[in-house]
Amino acid sequence: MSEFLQFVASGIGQGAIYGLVGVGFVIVYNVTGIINFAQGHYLMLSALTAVSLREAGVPAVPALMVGIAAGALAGLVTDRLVINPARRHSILTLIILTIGLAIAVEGLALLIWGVNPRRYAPFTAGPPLEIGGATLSRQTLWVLGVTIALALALWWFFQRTVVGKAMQACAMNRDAARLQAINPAQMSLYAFTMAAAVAGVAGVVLVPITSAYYDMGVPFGLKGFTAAVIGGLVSPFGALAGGLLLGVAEAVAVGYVSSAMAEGVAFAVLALMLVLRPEGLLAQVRTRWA
Amino acid sequence: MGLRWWGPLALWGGVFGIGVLLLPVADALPFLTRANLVVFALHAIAAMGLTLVMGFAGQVSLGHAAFYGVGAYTSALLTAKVDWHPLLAMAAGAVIAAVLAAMLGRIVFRLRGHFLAMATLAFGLVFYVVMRSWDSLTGGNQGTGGIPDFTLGRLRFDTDTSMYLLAWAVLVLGLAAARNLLASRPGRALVAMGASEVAAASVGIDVVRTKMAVFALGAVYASVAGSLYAHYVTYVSPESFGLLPSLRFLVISTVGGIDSVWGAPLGSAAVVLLTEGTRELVPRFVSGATGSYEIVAYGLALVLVLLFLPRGLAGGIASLVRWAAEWLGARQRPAPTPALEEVELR
Amino acid sequence: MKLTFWRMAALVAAALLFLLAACGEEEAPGTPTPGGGRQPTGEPIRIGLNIEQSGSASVQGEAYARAATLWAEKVNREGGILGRPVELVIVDNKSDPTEAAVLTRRLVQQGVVAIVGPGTSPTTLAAMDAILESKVPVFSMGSADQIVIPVEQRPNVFKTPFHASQNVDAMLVDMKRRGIRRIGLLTVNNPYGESGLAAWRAAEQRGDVQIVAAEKFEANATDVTPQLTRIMSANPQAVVVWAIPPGAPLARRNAVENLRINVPMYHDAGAGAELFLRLAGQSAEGAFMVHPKTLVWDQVPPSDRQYQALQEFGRLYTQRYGEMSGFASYVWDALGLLKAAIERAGSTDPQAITRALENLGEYVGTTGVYRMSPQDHLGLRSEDLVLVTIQGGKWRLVQ
Repeated sequence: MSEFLQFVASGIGQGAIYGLVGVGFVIVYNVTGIINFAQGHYLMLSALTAVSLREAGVPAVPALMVGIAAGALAGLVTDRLVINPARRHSILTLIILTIGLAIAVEGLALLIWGVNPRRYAPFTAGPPLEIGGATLSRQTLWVLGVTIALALALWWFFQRTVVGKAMQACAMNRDAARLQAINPAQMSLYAFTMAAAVAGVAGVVLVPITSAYYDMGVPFGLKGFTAAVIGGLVSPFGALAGGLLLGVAEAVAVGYVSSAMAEGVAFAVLALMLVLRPEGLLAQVRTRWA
Repeated sequence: MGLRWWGPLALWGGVFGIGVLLLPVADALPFLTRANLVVFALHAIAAMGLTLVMGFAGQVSLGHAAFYGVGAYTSALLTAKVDWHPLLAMAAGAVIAAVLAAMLGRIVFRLRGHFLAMATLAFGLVFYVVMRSWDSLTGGNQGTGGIPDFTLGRLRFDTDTSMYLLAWAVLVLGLAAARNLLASRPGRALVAMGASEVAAASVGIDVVRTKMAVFALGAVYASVAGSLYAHYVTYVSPESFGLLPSLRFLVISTVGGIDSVWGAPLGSAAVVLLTEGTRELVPRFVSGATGSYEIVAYGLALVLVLLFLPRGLAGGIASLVRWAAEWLGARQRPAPTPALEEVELR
Repeated sequence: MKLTFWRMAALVAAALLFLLAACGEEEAPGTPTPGGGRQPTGEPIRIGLNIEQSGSASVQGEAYARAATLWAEKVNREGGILGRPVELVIVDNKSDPTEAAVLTRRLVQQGVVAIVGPGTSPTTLAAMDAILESKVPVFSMGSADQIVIPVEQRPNVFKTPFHASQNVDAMLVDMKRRGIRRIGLLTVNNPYGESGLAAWRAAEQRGDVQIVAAEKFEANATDVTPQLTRIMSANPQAVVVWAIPPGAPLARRNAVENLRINVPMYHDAGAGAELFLRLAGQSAEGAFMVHPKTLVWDQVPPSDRQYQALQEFGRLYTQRYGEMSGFASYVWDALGLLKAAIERAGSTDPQAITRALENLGEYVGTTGVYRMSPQDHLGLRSEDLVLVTIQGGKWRLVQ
């Protein structure tokens, strides 16, 4: 039993990160119809920026903030320099554009930071917490706390602010939104920036658990994308739930199936989801974001 | 009667000739070797399959390298372990790839738009994991080696030059087949479908069946290229068939242009030139430069091509030809329609 | 007239160089003349480096490139090879098997006399056909045994890192001393981990050890606590981790920080030297690692045969890059072996170099003492490996 609890505890820590990356996929997809392959790369940029600043002696809070801002800025630049000029091209071209961007960003990161992984100390030092024989590291608690706080903030944003509602309108029907004088280009800018910022937050809370390196973008992008699809690719909260589910499934697969096939389990789940329930696990909430 | 055959024969013979002429070109350029030509041709064949799927059936595949892998592993296992003739093994790979694609297509073509892309992505990743984990069959992470050279009768393809000529011949055959197919009745159905699925269905085209057929055909192209790859490198490991190779085929098809059969070879050539060109040039300007500059240049070039040539290189060349034709036509009427234009467009 | 003058000058210069070279040889080996003084002349000797500077094996590739650059500078400072300067042609195969094969052919076309790399098993095996056709001597830094075995089918292929089985043998020596028989195995799910797993399975077949749990993890994993939980539930006496960074230090951190595992943990030589210390931090304390002596180059006593070689390499490498890498010595030794072979052969003919390598006798390198022969294209013995541990953030030799 304590073993199972340990798998779950490990799984939700990982899953929260997958979910946060997944949220970014959903926001961009809903507002623009684009699947942004560079989504995981914002996480990498934020993580590495924060680590470098900390290594240079910058205090923790500003280092983390600037790290997140760097990710968000990269999202903004993505929209202005790559997506906006190509707005009239087909969606397929736009998706492949993001692949090109992801390749270039990864190369840039390699130029700036080199190949060696870097470490960032946990936000709060101390031994892990014990719950029913399973242990949960303090940084995992940070990850979960930040994830919950972000989820609440997103809910408030989409439900209570004008911009949030406008973005939601874009998601429901882009043409109708335009008739309501909502500028799709502006909404796209917001979406890319916001998605990148959320990935950036995931990046900086994640680094102390593992380490930061230039090619961490693709694996996290892939897992985040899977999380978003499990959630139906329509709701940020679906993506978060999908991420948690994926994380726990992976950890349990390691425990009870085979550690060599654990990754295969994740992708097989993705394939099955698409075939059996392309609308996602949380179909009831598909038309609403909350 | 005779004339009907001479035209195409001259055209494809000419195309083959261009490929032969690339040999001295590669020798003359300091940063290219004949091995680059082999890779260029193999990638072009596989990417052409993807071009058919994307351009003519309007479907995106993010798992194309899996079919490349099916061909490579089938050839590797059947020739190295049970001593099949390479040609037979290649055919077996093609059949397996086609059946797999048709089965996958049957399941996923119910899905629309991006869900299809995601399903192919998932398929590609699952294939990759299986190749890595099924140790007893594939050799797992360690891969499978000892693959014999490709042979045809008494011909043995064991050098870069012979392998390139073989691959190029297959590429020309693939080009000819694709163009003839597009001119045929099902081909026109395909093009109609790319334009509008609803319209295609309304004039009695079985959309799902046609899509499945194209998907299977695209898989066959990839599989044949994969078989040749296995015989060329004589060793296969899962790394060559994961997500990044799938994205590479996507890049080649898109950069080349997905609405022309000439897109795949153009895109493949562009990628080889870009990779090797930056490898050669960058260290001259930046001392101590490593591969990271190449990667940046590669990504940026992809972005720039797509931004400024959304229809890819083939589309760009076609526009150029048309523009030149109009310009010429404006100067001296009646306008001579260059034969090339007909070749470039579809 | 003018031409003759320059020819005379060149002759005089060559004679002077020869004299200087002769003087240089009389100096004690291992104390390089700072700044040299004899400039290598003539057509450069080109050696190709086909390495993984980006992609999945880039941590290795970077160390390879650093060691190679450093080596070329040193050799050219000290008069080159056969009086000729050395020119390295470094190309990045992006850890891609196909590129590794194509680049091998390309390097040969560019007229290199030997190639160092590819630096991993899958890239090497994919390039094998090209390597065999090239006929030039090729040094791989891949760990798989089949890179040089069977040697009849690998006439021009050599390697510098220990076989995985030799790493296992060295670990077993220490385990026997501690009475450890039941082990849990955690290997990275790629060819590197696979070679370790295979070597341990062979040891189990021989009856040297009992593997009570064997788990794998992905190279880019960020949490391996589930795998470690599984392993610990089988109650092993020790845990062996077979991986490179960032996987190896991550496993150590998860074991110590999250699960408070208190059985001994062994790492193989790939775990990453200083990078392991940096990434595992406090948790690194007490971990064991089987490694060539390069990791404790400053603690090896002068009585050790490798003392000179280690001092020179360790000092140069840490002075330039501020830290030691576990992978760097493989390229350093490959290049050193090539230099010795070219000098022995007295020519840069690839076939002559290959023959000279096989008949070099003993070569005291930094990784170990190489005794290459026509039957053995590695020539290392597992006795050259040492067991090290971490105390107070520093590597310590375990006696």
